[in-house]
Amino acid sequence: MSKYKKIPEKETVEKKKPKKILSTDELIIKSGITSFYLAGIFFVISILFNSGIVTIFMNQNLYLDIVDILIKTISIILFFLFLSVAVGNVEEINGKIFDWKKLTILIIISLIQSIRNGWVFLFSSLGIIILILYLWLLQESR
Amino acid sequence: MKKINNVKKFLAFFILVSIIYSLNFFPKFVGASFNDDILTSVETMPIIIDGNFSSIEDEWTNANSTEGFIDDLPIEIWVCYNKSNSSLYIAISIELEIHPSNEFLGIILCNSSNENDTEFLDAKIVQNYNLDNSSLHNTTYFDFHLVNRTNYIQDININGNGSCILDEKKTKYEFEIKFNENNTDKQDVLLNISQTYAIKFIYGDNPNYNSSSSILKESTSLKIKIGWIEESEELPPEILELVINVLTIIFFISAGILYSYFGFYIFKTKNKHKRKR
Repeated sequence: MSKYKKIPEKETVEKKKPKKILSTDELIIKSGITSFYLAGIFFVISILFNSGIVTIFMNQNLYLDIVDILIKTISIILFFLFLSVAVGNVEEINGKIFDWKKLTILIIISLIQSIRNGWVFLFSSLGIIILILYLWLLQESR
Repeated sequence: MKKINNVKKFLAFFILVSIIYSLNFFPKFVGASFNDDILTSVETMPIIIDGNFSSIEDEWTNANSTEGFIDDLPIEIWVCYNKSNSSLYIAISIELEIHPSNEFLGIILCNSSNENDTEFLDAKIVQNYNLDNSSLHNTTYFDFHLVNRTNYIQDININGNGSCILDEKKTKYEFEIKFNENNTDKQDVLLNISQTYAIKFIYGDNPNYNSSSSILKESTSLKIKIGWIEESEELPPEILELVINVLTIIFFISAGILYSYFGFYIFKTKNKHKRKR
């Protein structure tokens, strides 16, 4: 028999808080807000390059010109994509559809960023058209 | 269902056609290498053709300029003319870390503003020898006419002048092209004031111009107008730049406001949703 009385170990491990289960609506809003912030990041990149604040790749040589156009175009296309996802999610929560009016506003605020470069405008327009068609086909196939 | 499939097929075809159509721009883009499509030469004092851009005070200051590429080689170009001398002057500066010893630069002139390759008939070339050795360096000006676009045949009467110097990392070329003197042999392009002409630049490192390996780079065409552009035709470049800058600011502020509006809309919905719960 042991000399000392066994003291039962205190329950040191705190009970884990039950993980908050997010509802579908909350998930949609969360995804919408994340997309909105991502759109903001690409908007800042677009302001820097498309407004001519950052010109490190411009008029150096052909390859850097292509890199410059790529950065400008991708920032506009991703801005459009994330903002349309954000707005689309919120519209879904509100029980509305993402209508042509809002889509047109999104297209306009995306494309006016390419005012200084015709090539950026051309490739961004093409990218946005392909994105819209892709999203539309995705909806159709559901 | 079948209808949707047809729509998809049509859209896939439309996207493919759009991509192919946009790729048509690409070859032009790869070679489209000048910041301006048309460069207007203004009347200035006569230029001293020695490769030095400041032989006399303000020699090229009033000339119109643009930047561009010969293939992938960055160049700066200045253009002006002098009526009393019946000459068009073109200056080109090329910056490279190391210039080839026998570097040459040529201007190929078209007898119109047409960009059709068959009409580029007149070539003026400044050939450097021993560019890497300042004491042995010398230049020669050649006046050629082109046969079948690739055969460079020297003119009987050499018109114009050209020269080049190496200034640190830059080779500076100056050309003088006479308007229409001594053209009885029809081997030169007839230049006239207030007309527009297409020109191209060639660059290489070997004076054997008839060998295809000698001409390393060839630019796309640049149009040069001899004479002052009419005021109504185009805004002066400074005003155009100012307008573009103002429009850029307005557009980006508008985009920012609309982006903020969507942000407000998203967060308002979030709060509304929270309150409902």
